Order: sequence, then structure tokens, then C-alpha cells
Amino acid sequence: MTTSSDRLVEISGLRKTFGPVAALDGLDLAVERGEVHGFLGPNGAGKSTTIRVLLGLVRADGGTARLLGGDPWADAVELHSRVAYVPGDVTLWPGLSGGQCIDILARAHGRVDESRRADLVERFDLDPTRRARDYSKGNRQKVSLVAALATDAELLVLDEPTSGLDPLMEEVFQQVVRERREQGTTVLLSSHILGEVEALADRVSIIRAGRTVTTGTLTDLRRHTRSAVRAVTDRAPALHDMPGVGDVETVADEQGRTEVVASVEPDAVGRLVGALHDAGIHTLTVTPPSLDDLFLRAYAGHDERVDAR
Amino acid sequence: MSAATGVGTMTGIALRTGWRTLLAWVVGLVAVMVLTGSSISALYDTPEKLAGYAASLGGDALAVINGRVAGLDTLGGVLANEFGFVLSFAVPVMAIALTTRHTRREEETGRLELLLAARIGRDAPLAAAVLLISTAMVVTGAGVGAAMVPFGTDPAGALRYGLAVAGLGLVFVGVTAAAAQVVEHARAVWGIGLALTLVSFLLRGVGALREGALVWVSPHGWVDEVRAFGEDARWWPLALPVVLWAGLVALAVVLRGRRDVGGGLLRPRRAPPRASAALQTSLGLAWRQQRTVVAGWALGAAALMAVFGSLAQEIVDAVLDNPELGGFLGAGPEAEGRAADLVLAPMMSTFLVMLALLMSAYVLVAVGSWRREEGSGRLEVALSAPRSRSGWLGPRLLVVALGALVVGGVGALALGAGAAASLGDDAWLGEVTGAGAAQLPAVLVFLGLGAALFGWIPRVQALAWAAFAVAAVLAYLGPGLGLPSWLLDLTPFLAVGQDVVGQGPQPAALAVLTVLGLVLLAAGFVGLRRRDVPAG
Ligand SMILES: Nc1ncnc2c1ncn2[C@@H]1O[C@H](COP(=O)(O)OP(=O)(O)OP(=O)(O)O)[C@@H](O)[C@H]1O
Ligand SMILES: [Mg+2]
Repeated sequence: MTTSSDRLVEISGLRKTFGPVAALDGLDLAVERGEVHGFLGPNGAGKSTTIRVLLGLVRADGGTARLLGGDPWADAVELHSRVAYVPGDVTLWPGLSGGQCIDILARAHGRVDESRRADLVERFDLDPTRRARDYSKGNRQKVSLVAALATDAELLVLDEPTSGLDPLMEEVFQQVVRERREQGTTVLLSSHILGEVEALADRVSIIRAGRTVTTGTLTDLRRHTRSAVRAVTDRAPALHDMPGVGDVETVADEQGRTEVVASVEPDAVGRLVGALHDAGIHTLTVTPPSLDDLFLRAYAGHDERVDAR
Repeated sequence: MSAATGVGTMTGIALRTGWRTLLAWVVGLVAVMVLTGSSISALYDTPEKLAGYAASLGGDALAVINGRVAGLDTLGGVLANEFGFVLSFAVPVMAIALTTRHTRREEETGRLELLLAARIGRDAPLAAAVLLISTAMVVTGAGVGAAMVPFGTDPAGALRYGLAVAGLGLVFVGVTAAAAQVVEHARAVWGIGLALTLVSFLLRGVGALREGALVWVSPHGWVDEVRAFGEDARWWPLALPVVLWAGLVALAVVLRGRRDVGGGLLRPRRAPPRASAALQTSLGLAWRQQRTVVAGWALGAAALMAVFGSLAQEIVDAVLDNPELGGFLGAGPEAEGRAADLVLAPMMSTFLVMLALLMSAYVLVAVGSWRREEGSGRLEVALSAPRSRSGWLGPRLLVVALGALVVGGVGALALGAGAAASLGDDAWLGEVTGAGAAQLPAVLVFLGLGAALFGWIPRVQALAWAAFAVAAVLAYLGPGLGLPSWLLDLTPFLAVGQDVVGQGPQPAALAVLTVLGLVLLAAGFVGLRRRDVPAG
């Protein structure tokens, strides 16, 4: 059990309405010290709104939210010296250079580590003398990232930080986040890029329509999801009514050799392989669910936790 | 697909997204003429009274502001004269605002790129914007002209006048369309448009007072040269703005062909790679973002006021030349003194009201930029720093207040120095600058109004502009229209004193306005502390 001082973000039952729209409708979220927490959900799910509540920009209508043990609205000023925030779509000051923008933003985020700043400018391949209005979208995003990552904030709050980055820069971003995590920084990462979340996140929370659908480590999430099984056996296996096994399709040729396709829950894999073995296995593949499947199912309104029971 | 494919589609889109603003401008301008017409026709209901208008105090002096309007002994001429100031600024500003909105602003936000990817030709957005807004200018002119007729003006004169109004608008549609191709940002397009408005206005003013050829180089002057209600009225000067409009639009099309979408013809320069310590403070950043704007407004105010001030002696001479007034004032140095008291002081007060209008307009523009800070996400980032909301608003307010003081200070000094030099009497410098300070509480009210709206309901910040427009029209037209004084006191610019140079300010009004302004400012702080960012 973790103590609450190790919990940098603690949200429960959070509600927020904008006029008739319920942006948050009883959302829960917990981010532990030292982890990279992936925060996922379809467009309009309420990710940015949650982050704004955490930063004391938006006042919640109900539920509780704690940031670094304090009240994000009332204690905003004190808390912000320990947090750095990268919004998804910030337009920089058009007349200032990228380097000037970095300094101004970094100053807002906290204390800047000069050598880290220089290193990041180099690694993200930024020309700091160009004016912000002449930057491409990706380069603007890099400015925001460098400014936040160059500080020694305890908690990095990143809202879709890599939209617009090319694959090379995406790689740099992932390296830098890993380094920061090694140094003990906690990261809340809202993202639509599943590969990025898979590569970085220790735990993820998936939300939909302002509510948390599922939360846990990726292994946890996988554990509740069926793997796809494909096999060729000498005889037709006896799979009917086997608990934890579904979507069974079999096609047999004249010699009785059978092609089997099925889906299986993690704890039924042994039972299924046993039955296939009895039928004489020729070939067998068990494919764990891809992250994409996992997210797509969660986004589409499939509650994995309920399903797994 | 030709470069002009989709003009119809683009016009439809522009109309659908912008019809409210378009309609507000047309209706607003026609309404001012209706207001002017109903008051003037009641005040000057006999030919004798009309004849008196031409001979009345300051008629000649006012040529600096209104130009030399023909037919001042007819109702139409009087109306045209009273409408002169609104015409001089509101019509060009309407053209600049609408044209910028539908050309450069669209490009700046990236919306245009989206459309150009569809089946829309490269020249279509520009063509559609010019077509739509030029039509709006013609409709405005026709509406203004038509509004004069029911009060009993000569219909042919009203038609000439309406077309002249439309012509002035067309010139600035062309100016803005061309400027929008040269520079990359809507703000710079505005700057060019307003600067040219000012130049044209000043040239006409100087030309009118000296009765020289200078009026012919000013589109403002062309309106007067139609002599819509004079005995020597003529149609041909109406061709001048149309020709210039066509030339400018053609220039815009050519320039457009030479640049990329989203780009300008002028390439920006590089900038320093590190922010100075000053730039990293709230105050430094706020000042950095405002300094060019302040410089532009200060330059405009200085030019306008310097010209007005330096015409002081000519205004006195014009009054002394007026046979009726000259006789009344007598001759010799005493007459000059009396003329100064009687004409010059109220004139200088009127110029100071103009300066206060400029300061307030600057204040509203600057306060409007806070909304952009919010929309761009920069406010969010700024507030995610260990800084309270008041810690963000305070420095910004301070910078706007300082900016207004710079605009006002430079303007008042230019007016005072110009007058002192022209009259050869240094006392005017102190007198004018000192009296100008009386307008500060009026400006403060608009700063407060802008801040309060930003704090509570930023969505309707445009209401501050509406209040400003009403106050400005009342301040300028009110006294001439013989409106009741309680109504005039509703406009802060007159409440501080109707002749601050000659009669001094109204201390009670100064106190009330100062308190009102401060309360509104405080409300702005309270509102911002309580609301969501970005506002819901
Ligand atoms: N200021 C606001 N005013 C009105 N509605 C808002 C406001 N901010 C957010 N909403 C609404 O609240 C809901 C949640 O929005 P939010 O921006 O938090 O979603 P998101 O998960 O960040 O989506 P995306 O992945 O597209 O960034 C949406 O329906 C949105 O339209
Ligand atoms: Mg979002």
C-alpha cells in the first residue's frame, strides 16, 4: 500500500460541467511518485479538462482533487513551483525567438538546469534564433517540450506533447522522458500515440465521457483481455463449452486435419493448449492482444474490468 | 480550375461567418446619420437659422476637422458637416476592420489553407472579400444618403453625398486588400490602414484650412470636392475613389500571385537566442508585447495633435476674417486675445477630446490582446507558473496604463507645443497639457470596463467597444446637436468638462469617474481570480 505522500495526483469522483456539457462525470485518477502515467481517452473524453483542474486553471464542480498533497485551486501558487506543464496546442509569442520563448516558459515552470537546457536544444535540433511565427507546428511543440523538460520540476504534466513531432524527434522525446524518470521525476502523459504510451508508461488510465474506464499496468490490462489462438491439429479438438474460450471456428479437410481459430482468456490458455495437444498439434500461435485492440475496445465502450469477471 | 474558381462559395462562407459584424457596421453608421438628421432638422428648422449655422462660431476653424463642406446654408450641407468626423474615421475603420478580418485574419488562423485545399481558386478568397466588403460600403453610402432625404434635404445632393461616402470606404477596402498581401499579420495590416487614414485626414484638414490643392491628394478631400449640397455640385470627383479602388485591388491581386499562402512579401529577420532577464519577468514580457503597439499609437497621436496645434494661428485668423465675427471681436491685439478665448480654447478642448478617444481606443485594443493571450494558450502556461492570477493581470494593466499615458502625453505635448509655436505664446504648452490631464479619468473608465469584462465574461468584451462607440459619437456630435446636458454627461469625455481648456474641469465628475474606473478595475481582478481559464 502506498501512503498518500507518494501519491502526487489523487482525484476521485471529479465533476465539471460546461453549460449543458458534462466534461467530467465522476472521474478517478491516481499518479504515484516516480511513475510515468499514461492518460488516454477518445477526443472530448475530458483529459485536458482534468489536467486544467489539476493545475488550478478550472474549478471543479464536485469530487476531490489533490495535487502534491495540496488543493490545486486554493494552493495553486505554491504547488506550481513543483510542476511543469506542456499544453497540447500553445501558440508561442509570434515575435519572439524560439530561444526567448524557452527561457520565458522555463522560468514559468521552475528552476532551469542550464546544461540540460543546452543539451535538449541540441538533441531536439532546434534553431533558437528563428522567430516563433516562422516555426512549423512540430518545432513549436519542441520549444514547449524543451522548456518543461529543462526544469527540475517534480511532476511533469504533458497534454498531448508530441502531436506534430516526426518519428526521429518522437524517439528523442521518449529517451528524455525515460532519463527524467530514472532521476525520479513523475510524469502524467496524456497522449493519442499508443506506441509512445506503451513504450513509456508504467501505468495507464483510460477515460471515456468524463469517467475512468480502466486503470492499471499494461500487463494488468492485457491480463483481462483475450489472446487470439490459431492452430492446425490432426483431429477436431473438443473445445465446445470450454470456460474462457470463445469465438471458436473450425474448418476440417478430407483427412480430418482441422484449422482452429479461437479467442482465449489468459487463465484458460493452459486448458485450451491441453485440448489442442490431445488433438495433435501441427502448428500453434497465441497472439496477445495488441495495445491498439485494447484501446480500441476501451474507447468503443467496452469495459474490460466488467468483461473479465 | 482557374484561380478565381469558387468566388461564390467563398462569398457565401464570408457572409455566413461575418454577417453580424457587417450588419452592425452598416446599421450603426446609418443610425448615426438618422440621429444627426432628426436633431439638426429640429434645431435648424428655418432658412434663417440655417444661414446662421454657416456664420456661427468656429465654422471656419472646424474645417480642420470636417473639411470644407459646401452648401452650409442648406440642411444637407449642415448634416454633412456634422457627420464629417464620423465619416472621417468610422468609414475607413469599417473598411479596414472588415477587409482585414476576411483576408489576413483568415490566413493567419490557418482556416484559409483548409479551404484552398478544397475546390477554391487561389484568388477566390481575396476576390470574395473585396466584393463583399465593397458592396457593404456602397450599401452603407446609399443608406447614409437615403437617411438624409426624409429630413428634407435635396435628393440629388443626398445621392452625391452617399456615393462620396461609399467612395471613401472603397479606397480603404483597396488599401487594406493590398496591405494584407505585403505584411504577414493582421495587426500590421491594421497599422498600415490606420496610418494612411490619419495621413489622408491630416492632408485634407491642412488643405481645407489653407484652401490649397492639398485636398486633392487626400481621399478624404475628394468627399468635399463633390460639393454634394453646394450650388456648384459636381459628379466627376466621384470617379477618383473608384479608379483608385480598382488600381489598389489589381495591385493586391498581383502581389498575391507573388507570395505563398500564409506568407507575406516582407520576410522577417532572426532574433536573439536567449531572453534577457527583463523579458523573463511578467512586466518585461507584457511591455515587450505592447511596445510596438504603443509606439504606433503614440506616433499617430503626435502627428494628429501636432498638425492641429500648429494650425492655431490660422484658426484665429480664419475667425477674424469672418465678417460678422470679426466685427464683433473688433480689431488689434485685444481682438486676437478675445478670439483665442472665444474660439481657440473650445477648439483645443475638442482636440483634447479627440486625444482621449485615441487613448481609450488604444486601451481597448490593448485589453483585447489579453483575450488573445488566453485563446492562444499562453495564459494557461503563464498561470501554471508559481504566480497568482493577480500577479499576471497587475503587470499587464500597468503596461496598458503606461501605454495610454505615453499616447496621451505625447499627443498633448504635440498639441500644446504646436499651438505655442503657432501663436508665439509659450503659455499654451502648459495650459493645453494641464487641461488634457482632466481627460485621464474618462480613459480610466474604459480601462476599467475592459478589465472587468475580461475578468467576468471575456466572451462579450466587444461590449466595451460598443460603449466606446456610443460615448465617442455623443462626445463629438452631442454639443452640436443640442442634446440635453444630462445625456452629454453620460459620455465620460464631456462629463469631465465641456471646455476643459477654457473653463476647466468638473471636479465632482473627475472624482466620480475615477472611483468608477477603480471599482471596475478591482472587479476585473476579482472576476479573474474566480473564473475558469480558458473561460467556459
Ligand atoms: N471551455 C470549455 N467550454 C465548453 N466546453 C468545454 C470547454 N472545455 C472543454 N469542453 C468540453 O468538455 C469536453 C471534454 O473536453 P477536453 O478538452 O477535456 O477533452 P480531451 O479529452 O482533452 O479531448 P482531446 O483528445 O480532443 O484533446 C468536450 O466535450 C469539450 O467540448
Ligand atoms: Mg485535450
